[in-house]
Amino acid sequence: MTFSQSDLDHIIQLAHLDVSAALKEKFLPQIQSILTHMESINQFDLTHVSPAATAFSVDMALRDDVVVPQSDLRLVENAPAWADHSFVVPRIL
Amino acid sequence: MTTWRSSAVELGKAFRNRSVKVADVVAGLWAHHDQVEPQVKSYLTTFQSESLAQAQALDIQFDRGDALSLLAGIPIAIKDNIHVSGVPTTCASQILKGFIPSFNATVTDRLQAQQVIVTGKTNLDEFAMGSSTENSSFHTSLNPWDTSRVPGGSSGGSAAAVAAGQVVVSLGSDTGGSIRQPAAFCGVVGMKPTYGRVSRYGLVAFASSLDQIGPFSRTVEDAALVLEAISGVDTHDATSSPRRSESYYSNLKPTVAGLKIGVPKELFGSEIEPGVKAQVVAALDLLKANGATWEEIAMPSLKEAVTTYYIIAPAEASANLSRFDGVRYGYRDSEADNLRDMFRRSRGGGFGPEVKRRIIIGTYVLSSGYYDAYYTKAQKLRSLIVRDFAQAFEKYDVIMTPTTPSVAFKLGEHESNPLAMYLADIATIPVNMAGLPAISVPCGLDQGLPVGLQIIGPAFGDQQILNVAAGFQELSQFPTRFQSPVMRSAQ
Repeated sequence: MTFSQSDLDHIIQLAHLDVSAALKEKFLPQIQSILTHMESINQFDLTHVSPAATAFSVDMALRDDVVVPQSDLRLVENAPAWADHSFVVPRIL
Repeated sequence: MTTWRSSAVELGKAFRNRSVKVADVVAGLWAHHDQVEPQVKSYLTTFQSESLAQAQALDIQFDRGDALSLLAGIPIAIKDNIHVSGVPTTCASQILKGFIPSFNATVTDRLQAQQVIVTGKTNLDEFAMGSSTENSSFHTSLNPWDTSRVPGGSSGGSAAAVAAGQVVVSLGSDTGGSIRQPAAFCGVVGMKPTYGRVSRYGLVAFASSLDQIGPFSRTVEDAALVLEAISGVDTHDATSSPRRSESYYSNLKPTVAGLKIGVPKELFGSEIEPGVKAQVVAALDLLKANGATWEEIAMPSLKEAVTTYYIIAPAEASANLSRFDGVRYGYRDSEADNLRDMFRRSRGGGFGPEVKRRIIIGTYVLSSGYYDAYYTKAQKLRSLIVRDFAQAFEKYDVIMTPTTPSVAFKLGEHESNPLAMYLADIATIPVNMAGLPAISVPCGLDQGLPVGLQIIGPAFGDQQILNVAAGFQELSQFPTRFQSPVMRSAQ
């Protein structure tokens, strides 16, 4: 499975990442090498093996669905921009 | 004499019988810290004046005979991806520079309820992605045994601080070995509890199915004491186990005689440096001479655990790190003129190279057309790893391996080859994939640098591996045998 420059550009776009041309040049052979190494998992016959999302199932520790009052100010004190009970962002389109 | 060099258990007793004051210990600790921090660079933030004030207040409580916990007054450092309310959590990333959480992690709450003294936040690889702290966007921590070498990672600051004597115990997080590998490199005890044993609430997520918080210490007793304090169910973390938490410290019972030990040959071959292997064999033979038995066993899936990990962990990370977009918290690029541009530029400007590389790999293995080829296969292989461990524990009480294939490597040694850095986690990663508890204890020196012995137990066998580690500690006396030059050099 080859990982090309256009694959890299496509994935960077999907991931909403800005990556400099110099870093892309460095990443391409590194990621190709890592993905080639990953192909070693094909040596195992996994046809009848079920995938595991976690190592073992645990009973979920759930809490009561109760509203806990919180101050808007505490929740947004780390926001880069906040006004009128809203996060302020640049134009969408 | 009990001083800042002493263990938490020794200090706790001395605080109680008033043979030493908390304030004197904390002042002594900071005096030592000021001498050695420029050499080791363990911390990102310190709380010197706050900790001294807290120590004085605790002395008043001890003087009047208040019933305080065994951890009251014990200095503890916390990895900077675990929230302490009101002080910065950076994850060693520019994207979180200036971020101040408004709540405590559950582990912080539990430790503060026992009146520990939090000394500061320790350095790490950015978002816990790395094995050396070289991926920290602030600085690289250095190994107290040899400052031309890395302390390991990602919890390198927490390990180095304990090994250098800057703090008595510390907390780290372990996704693929990030507690055990730096513990081995720095010659201290480091434990990853069973997945679900300790709440992850307030730990900034890297790979949610693998992350677990655990302690660093210089003795097994101290690791048990801290684990006892931080473990247990938490309704803020649905994956925390409802199993009753145990009294790991009071139930500690050194165990060696009659122990059946399996040693996976896949983690004991040519990938392990001869000097490391020799020290681990010597440790296994010491246990054997005292009534244990050990033999090599086959666990074929373990050879592919690293590959499996470097598919699953980046996949989970790429999803977890999508929340850092410059909208609600963290760095925002102010030049962007539309929302998409702001996401891209904020993430591009805030994340470092290793984090970007892992987001790219994770996004790729989850993308249409590649999901089954990589991610589903990796999850299937994970089932085989779990099965191999389960079969091994039918016959053996514990599994032992070298914690790392080599001793601490030189700064910059793996800089241009991330794959070589990833393969350094060959012995620790399988444990996370299977959700098991494991502890690394110092077992010898190679080239004058510490070697770690990893003891792996069955799920929720946390007490069992602590008991075995305590048994090995009794036989080897490692806390007094292996002290870093930085700690030994203190006046």
